[in-house]
Amino acid sequence: MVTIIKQRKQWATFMLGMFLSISVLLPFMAVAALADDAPPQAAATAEPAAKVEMGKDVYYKTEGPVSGKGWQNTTANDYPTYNLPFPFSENRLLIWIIAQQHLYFGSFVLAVPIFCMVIELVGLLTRDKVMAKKYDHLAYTFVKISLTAYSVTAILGGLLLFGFITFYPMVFSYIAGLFKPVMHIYALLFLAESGTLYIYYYAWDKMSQGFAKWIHATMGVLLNVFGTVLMMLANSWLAFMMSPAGVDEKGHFLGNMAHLIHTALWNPINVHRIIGNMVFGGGVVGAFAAYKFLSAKTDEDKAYYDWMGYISMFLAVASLIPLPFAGYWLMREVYGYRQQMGITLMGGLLAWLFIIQAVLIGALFFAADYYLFAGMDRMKGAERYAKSIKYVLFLTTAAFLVWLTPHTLIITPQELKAMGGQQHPVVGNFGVMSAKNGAVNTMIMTTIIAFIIYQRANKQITVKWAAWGNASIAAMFTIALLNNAWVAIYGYYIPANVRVGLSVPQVMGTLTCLFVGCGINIAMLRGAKDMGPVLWGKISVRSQYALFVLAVSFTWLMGLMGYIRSSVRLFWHVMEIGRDNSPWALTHTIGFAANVMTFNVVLFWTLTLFVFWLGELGVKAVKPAHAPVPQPAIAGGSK
Amino acid sequence: MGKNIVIFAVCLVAWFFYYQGLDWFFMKIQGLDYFAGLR
Repeated sequence: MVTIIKQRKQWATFMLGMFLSISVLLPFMAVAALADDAPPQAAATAEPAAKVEMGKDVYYKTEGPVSGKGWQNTTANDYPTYNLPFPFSENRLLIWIIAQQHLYFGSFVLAVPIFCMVIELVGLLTRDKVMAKKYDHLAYTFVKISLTAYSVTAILGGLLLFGFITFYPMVFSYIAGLFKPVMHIYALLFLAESGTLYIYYYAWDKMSQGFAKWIHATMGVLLNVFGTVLMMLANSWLAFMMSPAGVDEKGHFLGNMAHLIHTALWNPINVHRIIGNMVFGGGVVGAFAAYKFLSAKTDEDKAYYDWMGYISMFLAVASLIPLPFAGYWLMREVYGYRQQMGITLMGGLLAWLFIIQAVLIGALFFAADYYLFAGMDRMKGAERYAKSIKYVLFLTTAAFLVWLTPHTLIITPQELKAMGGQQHPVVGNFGVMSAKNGAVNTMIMTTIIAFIIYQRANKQITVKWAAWGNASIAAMFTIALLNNAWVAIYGYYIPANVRVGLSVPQVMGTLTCLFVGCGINIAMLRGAKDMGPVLWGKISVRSQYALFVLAVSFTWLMGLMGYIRSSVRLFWHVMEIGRDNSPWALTHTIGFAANVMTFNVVLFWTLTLFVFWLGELGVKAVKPAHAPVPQPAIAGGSK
Repeated sequence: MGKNIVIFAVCLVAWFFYYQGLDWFFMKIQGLDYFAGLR
């Protein structure tokens, strides 16, 4: 027995060493690869007669030696097509569909390991053995779902690559020429990630005890490091196409790979995508749990999948809360990079898509609040808070109405005349950013209130300072909401630059509610009396559809915002450097784009159902050990 | 009851100053004048 444990330890240490070596070696490989691309300065010094042509970076404004061919202008003949009827005659549409599917699955398989890592760690740190086992099993279920999705992602990635090579050969050749070392590192990282994922999954049982379990959890961390770096490298390609840097005005590489990767929009896109992936991943797993809950035959299964759905929703909504701030930062950087680009997005050609986005985001907050309130049915004592729900929903609805009101309306000439202009004299005022910021912050705050109510639903608070704690939370939200409204109104009376700056304290105010509000609440719940256990599985069937609403809304939102981000380049492949001369270098109507997005959503969910079904095939005979348990500690102060 | 109202009022005042301070501070570090619209 001792020998087996020793062997296990040795094997685990070896594995850890191997993966750490790979992760340490990768940057060196990158440097080595970049060194090949470095300009031959020594040769230039030796032969002063050979003049090095210099170019100026379009973004960083630094000078560098010109290398490579630069952008080659294309003609309509440079885009090989199939002779298919419209709209399939457009290569763009085919790439759009494949890229979107690849992104959906990629997003899912990048997000799920983040949850696995967190849940496995929670399981490791939980002292209650039954609960720890339950968390561990949940993490395992998560990774199992993502395994098939991982293969689908890789297949779609291959399809996308072939699509680029065959449909856009010149564009791909240019991008690949610039990012050659990045693409090689990407491929190596993909190998490392695949290896780690398979070991992580298949060694789950073998590495379930003692030190080996910690090694296993470390592999979860490594898996996420690989996945995140992979995503960031891929982001550098699209960020370059939106806001090029590291090249001169003709697209020649100037020898600085860091500039090429670190473009103006790279980091905002990285942050936005990481958070977005987590929201999406949580949504998909939540939908899986809801599907399993609805089809469960026993109370035990219902309880388990209800709990799984709650955890998934919790993770998705916890990630959703910072997402608007990341989006705001991205938009701010877009405006900073090219003001016209920002106007095209939010005030021009693509502005109506933001209205659709607003409706979907509103639906998300409504669904999350609804699910939390429906979840209170599981708890005795929740009826004490029932009367406050209507106020929270009223505030959410009011904010939602402001949030989705457009600046201008699509109207007939008669209506235009009656209104005295394209902007409505009253509600037209809600169409500007000042009002939108106020509205979205209100919706986030009401969701935080809903969560705080949920946390204390079945608890009787016993701390001595309960009066101060309650008063502090109530006063904080009152002042925060008033201050938020004040800042929104004040924004109408100050210059634009000051108005934009006001969004920062507005965000900080909301974050105070999140961290301080939840912090005080959790502290108050210490030692609180249970008014009854959480009856997992005793939740309405309707609530599970809220999880489907969340998942489908996330999917739609991703397709929508991805389209907006990509199409803001208008007739450029690479912004202001490489012009799109294909016959379809036009922006489609909103209706057409919305149909493609919806098709993508339907296709993704069809494929996902297939993945869920596949995941179930091999486990029919094995009954998961999920005994009924009280309440997850992750809910915060509930245990 | 009366005591709770006093506690709530104290908290309201404290949070009011916190939020106004927050607005002023985060405008200040951006080099912007929070009171631009009030002058």
